[in-house]
Amino acid sequence: MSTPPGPPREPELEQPLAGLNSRPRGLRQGLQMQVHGRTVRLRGFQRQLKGPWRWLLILGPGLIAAAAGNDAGGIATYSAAGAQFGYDLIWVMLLITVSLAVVQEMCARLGAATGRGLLDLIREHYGLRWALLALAVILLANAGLIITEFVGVGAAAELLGISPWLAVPAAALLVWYLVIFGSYDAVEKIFLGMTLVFFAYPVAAILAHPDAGALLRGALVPTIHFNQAYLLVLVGLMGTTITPYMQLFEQSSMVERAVARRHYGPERVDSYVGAIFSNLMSIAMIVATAATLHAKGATILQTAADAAKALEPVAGPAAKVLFAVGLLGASLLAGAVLPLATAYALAETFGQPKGVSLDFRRAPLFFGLFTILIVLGAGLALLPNVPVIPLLVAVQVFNGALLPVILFFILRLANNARLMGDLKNRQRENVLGWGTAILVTTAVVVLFAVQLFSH
Amino acid sequence: MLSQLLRFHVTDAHGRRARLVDVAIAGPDQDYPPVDRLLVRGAHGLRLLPWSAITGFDRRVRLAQVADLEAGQSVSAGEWPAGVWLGRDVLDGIIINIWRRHVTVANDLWLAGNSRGLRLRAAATGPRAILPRLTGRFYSLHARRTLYDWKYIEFLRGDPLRTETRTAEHWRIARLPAGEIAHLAGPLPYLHAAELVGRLPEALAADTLEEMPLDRQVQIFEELSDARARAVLALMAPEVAADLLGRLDPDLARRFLNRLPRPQSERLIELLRYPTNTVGGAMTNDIVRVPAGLTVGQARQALRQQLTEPGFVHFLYVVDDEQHNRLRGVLSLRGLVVAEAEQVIGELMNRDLLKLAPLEAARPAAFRMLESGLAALPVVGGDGRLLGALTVDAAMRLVAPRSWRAQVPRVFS
Repeated sequence: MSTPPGPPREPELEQPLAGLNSRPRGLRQGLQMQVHGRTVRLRGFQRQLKGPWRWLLILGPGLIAAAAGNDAGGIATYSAAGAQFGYDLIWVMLLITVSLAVVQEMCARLGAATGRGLLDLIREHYGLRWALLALAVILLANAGLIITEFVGVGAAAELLGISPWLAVPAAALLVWYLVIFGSYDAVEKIFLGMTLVFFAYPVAAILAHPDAGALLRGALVPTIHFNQAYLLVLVGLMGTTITPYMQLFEQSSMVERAVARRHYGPERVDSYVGAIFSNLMSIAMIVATAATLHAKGATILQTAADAAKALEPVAGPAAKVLFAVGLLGASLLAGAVLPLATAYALAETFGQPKGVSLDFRRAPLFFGLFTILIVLGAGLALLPNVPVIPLLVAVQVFNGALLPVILFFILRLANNARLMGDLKNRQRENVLGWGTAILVTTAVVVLFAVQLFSH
Repeated sequence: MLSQLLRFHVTDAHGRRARLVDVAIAGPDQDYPPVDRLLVRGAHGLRLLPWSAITGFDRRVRLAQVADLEAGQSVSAGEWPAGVWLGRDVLDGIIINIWRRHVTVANDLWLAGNSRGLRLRAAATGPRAILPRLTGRFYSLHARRTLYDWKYIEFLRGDPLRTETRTAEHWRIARLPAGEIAHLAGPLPYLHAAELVGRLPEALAADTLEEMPLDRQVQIFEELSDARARAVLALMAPEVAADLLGRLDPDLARRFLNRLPRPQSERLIELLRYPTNTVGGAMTNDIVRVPAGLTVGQARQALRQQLTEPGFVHFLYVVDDEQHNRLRGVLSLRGLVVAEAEQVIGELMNRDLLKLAPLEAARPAAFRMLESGLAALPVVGGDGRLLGALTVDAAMRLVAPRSWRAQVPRVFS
């Protein structure tokens, strides 16, 4: 375009009014790079955080999830293990920490490599029948867990002096309403905050002055009793630590965090640290109960009030209240997430609309199942005259028995080269993964055999 | 139903027997593609047969007859012949119903016809398609509502580099506007979404990517083939493309900047000079400039070419000349259209300008922009040079809550 003579110069505001003009604090240096043969300085790049902040960002979610990962069933099982067998089961915990880390990492990797949920992958690779089998396993396992969560709510309410007949239906209604009408995200943080009470366990474990020799022996020398009670708690520990639901959750959270297969890496550490941290908490629970309850002789826990005694070294007479608050938070947290995750899994398998942003008319299957699970869970939790702790442990045993099915699928999928590409399982992961599957299966089989012969 | 067909056995005149493993369709460009090949597994492994080899067909005993099973070409289990294999690629996979704007899973496929030819007619969705698959019987349970006409179906496999497919002009989803495609791609796993974007016509792929949230853009962009990624980047609005590049690994971004056509690359570099939390990081520099000294007639002539390219065209920014590029005023497109051809631009333009500086904080500037009630505010450097414009779209994105950002429509650019 030719440049015609310019217009007459007129007075103009060279800069906008200074007061209105706010600069962001601290302009960054920017990156220097060579483009088309010249050097340019570009400030528009979002730089990766470095140092401790970066790790906090990566590890944060995993740590919170790990701290909150102990639901009513977990607390009951770890307490029961400590009260009944003292330090005898700590070695199992160390063993399954490795298993948990490997399995969780495998699920995270599956999620990053494919961007899809576990059931989705099973259906596409092994067909509808296998997907339905996996779905049935997850439905059963989760339905059991949902009952235990509401049992947990009831037990916590009882400790606080409120009738379960009032507390459980109220909790069910609350959870249902919060999730469906969308204010759940805000409330979740309150529930999560309540579970932080369980950080009292490590303190209690130290204050109770556990017998160091016995503790070390329990951790390093495998002790196995071939009796029903021991094996029951053993499988329960496996079932509550490596829950099928946790694997589903790990994978879908990886999908939601939009981790792409090219950038998978730091998340590996996240899974490992999360597994180790959550199991340290569990071990602290076992030690605290062992040092307080088992020290006075092997005890079979019956009620939540018994389990709360483990916190007495920290809280004294307030132990009951402290335990109740933590139990309530953990139960409500899982009581909301579990039915939701199960409904997602079902809708996903059938390719039906899903998501809390829809409504009953548009996603009948999703909302129907969500409602049924809550009603069923709360209803069964109110059955009278059921000993609380043995029931909770029994459900974890059930979870442990179903675990090999899901582990099998995870291992097969993680070895599928077409699906995983570079992120395929390496030999070490396969050895540990299959080792876990064999370990759990053996424990379950032995438990059933002992069960059968003892009658 | 495909699930029933896949339970068939195939026999030949010599009494040999094989199991039907999968069937492939020919010409995926057609509305209802015919089945043209079948894969069977017999005593001697996998064999490929043309559908025309079938001489008889008995639904009751689930048996198809061919003259000679051994006549088929032998296939190794790892390497199936190219093509769309319905069992492997479509059944249980993700499909998009273009007509109903619905993403779902193909629970079954309806093949209609007889032994002489089967055509793919519909995809069955919904839980009711599940039961017949488990029992192998047909209960006529399929409600019409859940049978999706194949004419309106696109299927995705989750392979971003998938090539064998219908030609681009038959890729039906390309008829939808970019915003709707982006919305449909929302719930898809990212590899499926990348496959979708990778197969759209380039301009539409660029528009679709622009409509997605930034995290998703990055995820998908990294999965595209190199050539496709470059083409899409060159066609994207510069302010969106700059944000996308800013999120990539710097080495990768530099590779793209070096290999883009010169003008696009220069434009992106200009935008990338500014941090993302400043006006400069949010503005567009794909704007229309016109020298003040031109008459309206000359300007119309000169702009004819410039205005055909998409970009922000609502305002013409009047500069002293192309070289110095100092902003003198602004003229709306409407002003240019209604003016007489002999009038000089410099006399028509509006000189009372609200301006922004490139290093201003982005959010307060976005509020000022929105309060001005205009479609855009010019961004001017300290020396008076016109650098770009902050459009209402960019401002909306800056002030909208995070959960809304995907839904804020782009009006002007």
